[in-house]
Amino acid sequence: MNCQDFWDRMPELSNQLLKDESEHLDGCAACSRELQRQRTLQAGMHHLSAELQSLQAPARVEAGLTAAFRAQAMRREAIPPRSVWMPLFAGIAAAVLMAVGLFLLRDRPLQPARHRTPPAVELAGSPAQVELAVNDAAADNDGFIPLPNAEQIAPDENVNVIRVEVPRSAMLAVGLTVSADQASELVEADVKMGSNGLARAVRFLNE
Amino acid sequence: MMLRQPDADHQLFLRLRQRDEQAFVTLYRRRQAPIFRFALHMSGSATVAEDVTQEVFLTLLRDECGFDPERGTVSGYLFGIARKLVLRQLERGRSDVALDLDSEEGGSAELAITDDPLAELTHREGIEALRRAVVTLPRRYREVVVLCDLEEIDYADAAVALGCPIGTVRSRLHRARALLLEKLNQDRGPGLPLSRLKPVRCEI
Repeated sequence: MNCQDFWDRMPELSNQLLKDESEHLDGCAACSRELQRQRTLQAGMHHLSAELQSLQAPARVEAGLTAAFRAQAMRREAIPPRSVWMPLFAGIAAAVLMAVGLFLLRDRPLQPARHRTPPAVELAGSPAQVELAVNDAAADNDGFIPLPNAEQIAPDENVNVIRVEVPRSAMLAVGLTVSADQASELVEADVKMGSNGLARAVRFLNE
Repeated sequence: MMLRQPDADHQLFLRLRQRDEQAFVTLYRRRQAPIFRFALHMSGSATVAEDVTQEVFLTLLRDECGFDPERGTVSGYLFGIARKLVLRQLERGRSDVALDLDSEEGGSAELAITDDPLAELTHREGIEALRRAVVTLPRRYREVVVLCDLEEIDYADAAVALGCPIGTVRSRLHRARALLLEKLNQDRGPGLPLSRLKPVRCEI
């Protein structure tokens, strides 16, 4: 081991020397002397460290931190945890959205039913053909067709109308004809909701 | 992979996160002095050291304090925060250690008692000379000497605090000690040949 190898191992940072390091020191007075200086420096640092041990932060720092800790603990106790707030916020948000939605729907002028255009392809043999006349007769002046098995709307019942988009095939449910190639298209519809929140009648737009 | 058992500091940390005031106070009393001294050595200002100490422990109270026990001990984490805060202060230029060598040399004459400065390192004057030499080290060497030699934290914690590998801590410490020897020798005037105290290895 040469001097460079010896110091590359940073022996001054180790508490104990390895065997080959000790052997090098035995034969190298310069490294031995230098290591002794390093050890003396280390001892001096130890003394300095011991002298500085009494230095510490003033007592007011602890007092301030303790006060901050208590203040924060009080704030946390005053504020319910997130698990309480989240459902509450979600419920309020849902109620507001629903109120706004209903308000807009009520103010929206109902569009009169448009004349149905003759379907390009009649579903031949469909029982809907038979019911069509019935439903046409049942449609009110606004063009709403009562839904099968739905309660009738009382004259003084408060109703809401909601515009939705449904597959054209939904028209089959009220006996309207749908061409096979258009069955999957979307069509706008107004749904009349009863006071109990159930759909009572439907009016298709852009038939 | 072996899970590290939480040490006393870590247990106190876990308890203080559960709003245990006594745990917070205990952890503060265990760790405030080293943090304060580190900030004092690095900034040269007791006011800055006080502010830094307070801010370090306030960080523990925040919801997202960022301590990860997988990365190191609470002690290393606290020193790391203190270091960042001190560096921020130094960058602002509000305070710094007195690096004016002329002023430091003013007191060197009275320290020239013997021909061997190292022989005095266990005496009061020698220790004072060593303290001044530490203060005049460049920051990157001063911080590693303060952490490893004065506060005597292990290299792993120092690496966490400094944000560098352990090998870098060792090499900086090696270089810092060589610089200290050189400064101590310079303080004694031309009595000793510098060649005798040259760093045995230069890493920069």
